[in-house]
This record gives sequence, structure tokens and C-alpha cells, in this order.
Amino acid sequence: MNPEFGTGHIPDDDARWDTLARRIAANAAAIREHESSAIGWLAGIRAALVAASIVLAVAATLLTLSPNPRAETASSRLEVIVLPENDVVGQALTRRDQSPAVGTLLFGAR
Amino acid sequence: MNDAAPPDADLLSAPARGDERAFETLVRRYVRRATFLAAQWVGDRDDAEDVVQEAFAIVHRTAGDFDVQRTFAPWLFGIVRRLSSNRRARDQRRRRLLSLWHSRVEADRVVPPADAAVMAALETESLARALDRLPAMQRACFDLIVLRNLSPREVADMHGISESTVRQHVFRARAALKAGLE
Repeated sequence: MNPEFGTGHIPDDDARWDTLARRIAANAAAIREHESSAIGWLAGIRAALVAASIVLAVAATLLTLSPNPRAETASSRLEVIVLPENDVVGQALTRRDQSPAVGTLLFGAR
Repeated sequence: MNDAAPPDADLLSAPARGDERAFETLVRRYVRRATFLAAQWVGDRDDAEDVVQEAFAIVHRTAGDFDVQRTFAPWLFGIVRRLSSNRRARDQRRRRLLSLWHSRVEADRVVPPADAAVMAALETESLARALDRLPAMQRACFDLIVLRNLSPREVADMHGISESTVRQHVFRARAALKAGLE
């Protein structure tokens, strides 16, 4: 691609160039400032994303480490089967997920 | 440029020190030539000024990366040429797309009318026509040196070619114009 046009239509006087130079320099500085603030904003967003990721990771870890209620229930059921005496009262005492019925404790199974 | 004038590299690094006035001095030093160069590529005066604005914004932003061992002018004019070329290519694509929708779209961009005073300096219309028939680079160099009083060195920097090539273009342009008028 080559230059195609003449420059005859461009006015050529010092006052005009002074004005144009002032405008261009001011705009260049403003554009730079705007870009810098945009980069700062993006950096802020990035920091926030990193913080959110850390919070999520910690929450996920805590959830993983905390005892699973379902697992507890399952192990209690296992104890009912394996550990207690094989009668209704023993089973009622061992089961942690529900209180033994008073009738069961007093009179045992009918 | 006289001996007291600060070197381009000093002016270029000034914004980093908070001295925007120095950058303005740098812009003032090159804005005329940069605008002429852009105008030779994009034609329209407003488009040319937009290109120069964009070029100096790039210079301002990337001044810290500039190698002070290099000369500033060829770097700046290289940016102006690249931006101008991109803009012209974009305009050409746009015109092609428009031509798909409109039966009658101007086929080529109209060369803006030359300033009356400059045309008067050319003296005759036939000379202007002969000028239009010159190859692009001959016309560009002739335009800047004869009509704008720039030096071959300055024009060489602007177009990224050697000074001797500029002189050759101008010599051939003069010969062609002379032959065209005889």
C-alpha cells in the first residue's frame, strides 16, 4: 500500500499546529490516565476474585472435614446390629438418633 | 532544531516524571510532519488528525519501552504509517461492504480539493493533472519537499526510506512533470 493523496488541503500555519499539539498532548495524557485507572480497577477485581476463591476453598475444606450426619446414622445402625445385646432395650439405648421410649425401658418388649 | 533544544529522548521520558509540558513540546516538534504523512495515506484532514492523535497516545503509553539509543522520528512515523494503512484498509473494506447494499456508491475515495493557495502555486491545472499521474511515492515525496518545504532527510524518516531514494523520487517526479508539460 502506498500514500495516495496530496497534502494541499491541510492548512499550514504555526498557530494551528500549536493548538493541535496542545490538544493531542492533553488527550494522550488523559487516555493514559484512563487506561491506568482501568488497569487498577481490573487489578481490584482480580484481588476480589482471589479472595472469593480462597473463601470458597476454605468452605469446601470445612465441609469435607466436618462429620457427615448420614454417615453417623449409618454407623449407629451398625452398632445396633453388632454391639448391643440382642434385645429391644439394648437396642433402644444404643440408638443415638432417637430417645428410647419409656415404655420400652420399663417393660421391655412385649 | 537548535543546540539548546532538549533531545527527543528527554522529552519522551518526561511524562514518567510528571512533566506533561515536555511531552507537548515533543508533539509540537513532530505534529506537522506526522499530520502531512497521515494525510498522504488517508486523504481526509480529520482522519489524518485522528491517526496522529492515536499515534501520540501510543507513544505516550509505551515511552518507557523506547530504546533511547534509537532515533525517535522513524519510530513515530512508523506508527503513523501503520495506523494510516490500517485505517485506509478498513475504509476500503467498509466501502466494499456498502457497495453490496447500494447500487451506486462512489467507487474510489475522492481526492480532497487542494488548498487554493497551493493550487495557485502550482500555477497551471495541467501541472496538477501531471502531478496526479505520477507514481504514488514520487508524488508523495514531491508534495512534501516542493510544496511543504521539508528536507529529504525529514521525508526519508517519514516514509521509512533512504534519503537518496527520496532524492531520486523527486528527481524523477520533476522530470516527469517537465515532460508532461512540454
